Amino acid sequence: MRLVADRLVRAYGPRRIFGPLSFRVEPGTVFGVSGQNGSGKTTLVKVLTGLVRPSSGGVYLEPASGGGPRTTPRDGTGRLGWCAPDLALYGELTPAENLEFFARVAGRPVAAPEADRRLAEVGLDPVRGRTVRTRFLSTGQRQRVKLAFSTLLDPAVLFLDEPGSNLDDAGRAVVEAVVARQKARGAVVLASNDPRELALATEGVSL
Amino acid sequence: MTGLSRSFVSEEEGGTAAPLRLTAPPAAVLLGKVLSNLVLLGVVSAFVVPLFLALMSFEIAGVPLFLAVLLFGGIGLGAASTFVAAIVAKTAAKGALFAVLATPLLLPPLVAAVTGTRIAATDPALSAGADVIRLLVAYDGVMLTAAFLLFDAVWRE
Amino acid sequence: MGVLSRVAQGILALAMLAVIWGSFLYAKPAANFIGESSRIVFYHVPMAWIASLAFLLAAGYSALYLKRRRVEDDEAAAGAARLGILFCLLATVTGSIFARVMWNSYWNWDPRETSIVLLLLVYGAYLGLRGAVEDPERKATLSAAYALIAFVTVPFLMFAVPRMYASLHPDTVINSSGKIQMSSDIKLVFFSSLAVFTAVFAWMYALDRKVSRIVREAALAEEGAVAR
Repeated sequence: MRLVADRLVRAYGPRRIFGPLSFRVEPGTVFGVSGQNGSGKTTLVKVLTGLVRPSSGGVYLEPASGGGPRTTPRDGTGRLGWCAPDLALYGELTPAENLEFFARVAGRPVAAPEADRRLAEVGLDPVRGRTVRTRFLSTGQRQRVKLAFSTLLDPAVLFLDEPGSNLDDAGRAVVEAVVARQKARGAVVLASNDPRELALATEGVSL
Repeated sequence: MTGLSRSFVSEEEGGTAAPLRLTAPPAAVLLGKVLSNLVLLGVVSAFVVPLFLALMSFEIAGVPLFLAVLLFGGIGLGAASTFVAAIVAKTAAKGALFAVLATPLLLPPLVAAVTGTRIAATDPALSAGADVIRLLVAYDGVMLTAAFLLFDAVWRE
Repeated sequence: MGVLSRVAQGILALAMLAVIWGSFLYAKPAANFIGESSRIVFYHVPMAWIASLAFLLAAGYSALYLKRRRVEDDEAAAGAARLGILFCLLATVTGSIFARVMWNSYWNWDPRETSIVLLLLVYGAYLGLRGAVEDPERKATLSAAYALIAFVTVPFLMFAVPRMYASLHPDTVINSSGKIQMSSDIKLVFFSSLAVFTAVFAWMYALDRKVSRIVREAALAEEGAVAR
C-alpha cells in the first residue's frame, strides 16, 4: 500500500499547526518527519494514522501497483501500526496479554507462542512478558512492548514517533530491526529529532 | 452513576484509547462498554434492590412487572450513560459535566420506571404496566440505535 | 443594507402592529376560558412553535456538521439552540401567566411545565458542553453528537411522559380530534401571529449567522496579523 497525503492541513481554530503538505510514501521506503519540538510532528503522524481528522486535505491508502480502490485510514481498523509517546498499553495486563487482547479486538487473534515470539523480537524475555504486568516494567522495556504492539497486525504502514525514546543502544538496534522488517512488508513513517534515527529515512519532510 | 461516568475516562487519560481506536471497530468498543456497564448495573441492583425493599418494608405485588421495569429501565440507563461518558471523557470538566449532560436524557426512563414500580406495588398483573414497558422498550431501542449511529463521531471525532 | 430588506422590515413592522392590535382588539375572547386569558394563545403558541422549529434546525445542522464538517454548520446549530432557548423561555413565561389566571398558580409542576423545564435543561446542557471544550473542532463534534442524541429523547419528554399523567394544559393545536377548535376571528389573528413571529425569528437567525461569521473572520484576521 502507498500512503498519499494530499494538501494536508491541520489547524487549531484559526491557528494553523502545519500544512499544506503533499507527499507519497511508497512501500519499502522510510519517510522521515523532522522538525523542532512543537513543530507539529506528532500531530502530523496522528493525522496520517487517522487518529486526528485533517482540517482540510486528505490522507489516502492506495495499492502501490496502481488501480484498485483508494481508502482513507479511517475506513477500517487494524491496517496501520503506530508507536508514539502518547501511546499506552494496559498497565494491569502483562505484555503478552496486551498483544493478545489487541489482536483479538482487531479480529485477528494470535496464539500464545506467536505473542511470545513477537516479544522476543523486540528483545523482551518471554517469561517476563508472561509474568510481569506492563505497569511494573521499566520505561525502556515498555517502549519495546509498544514497538511489538505497533507491528502486531503486520501493518501496511508503520508510524514511529520518536521510537528510540528511553531506549539504550541495544534498544536502538531493535528499532533498526523493526524498521528493516517493516520495509519488507510495507512503508514506514518515522518522526524524530534524533539524526541517528532519521538516517534510516530515504526521503522526508521537515516541519 | 459515578461508576458509569468513568467508563471512557481511564482509556482517554491512560492513553489506551488510541490503540483501541487503531485496532478495534468502533461499534465493538461501544458494545463492550455498554455491556460491561450493564453488568455493573445488574450486580449493583442485585444487592441494592432487595436491601432497599427489605429496609423500607416495601411490598411488590406484581413481581414480573417490577423485574421488567428494572431490566428495560436498566438497558436505557446504561446505553444513555455510556454514550454521555464517551463525550465527557473528551472534555476537561468530566464529573460535573456528566451530571449536567446525562440528567435530561435519563429523566424519561426514570419517570417511567417510577410509575411502573408504583403500579407493580399494588397490581399483580403484568398487563397493568403495559404503557410503561412500551415506553421503556421504545426508549431503549431509540437510545441504542442513536448511540451506535453517533458513537464513531464521538470516539474518533 | 439593501433596499429590499428595508422594505421587508417595514412590512414586518406593520404586520406585527396589526397582529398586536388584532390580538387585543379584534379577536373576541374564547369560550371556556376565564376573562381575557385566551388572548395569550396568540403569543404563547407561536413562541412554542418557534422553539420547536429552532431545536429542529439545531438538530438538522448538527447532523449536517457531522456529515460535511463545515464550521458554518456548527455555528448554525449553536445559534439555533440559543434562539430556541430564548423562545422556549418566552413560551414558559407566557404559559405561566396563563396558569396564574386560569388555575390561580404560576407554577404547579404540571406535566407540561415539567417537560418544558427538561427541554430547557437539555439545551442548557448543550451550551454547557460547548463552553467546556476548548478545541473548536472537538467542541463542534461533541456538541453535534449530543444535540442529536438529545433530540431523539425530546419526543419522550414532550409527548410520551406527559401523556402518562393527566395534564391541565388545553388541547394542543395539533390535537387528537385533528380539528382546530377556534372561531374564525381567532383563527385569523392566530395564524397571522404565527407567520409574523416566524418571520421575526428568521430575521434574528439571519443576524445571528452574520455575527458568527464576522467573529470567525475577525479571529482569522487577528491570527494572520500575529503570524506576520
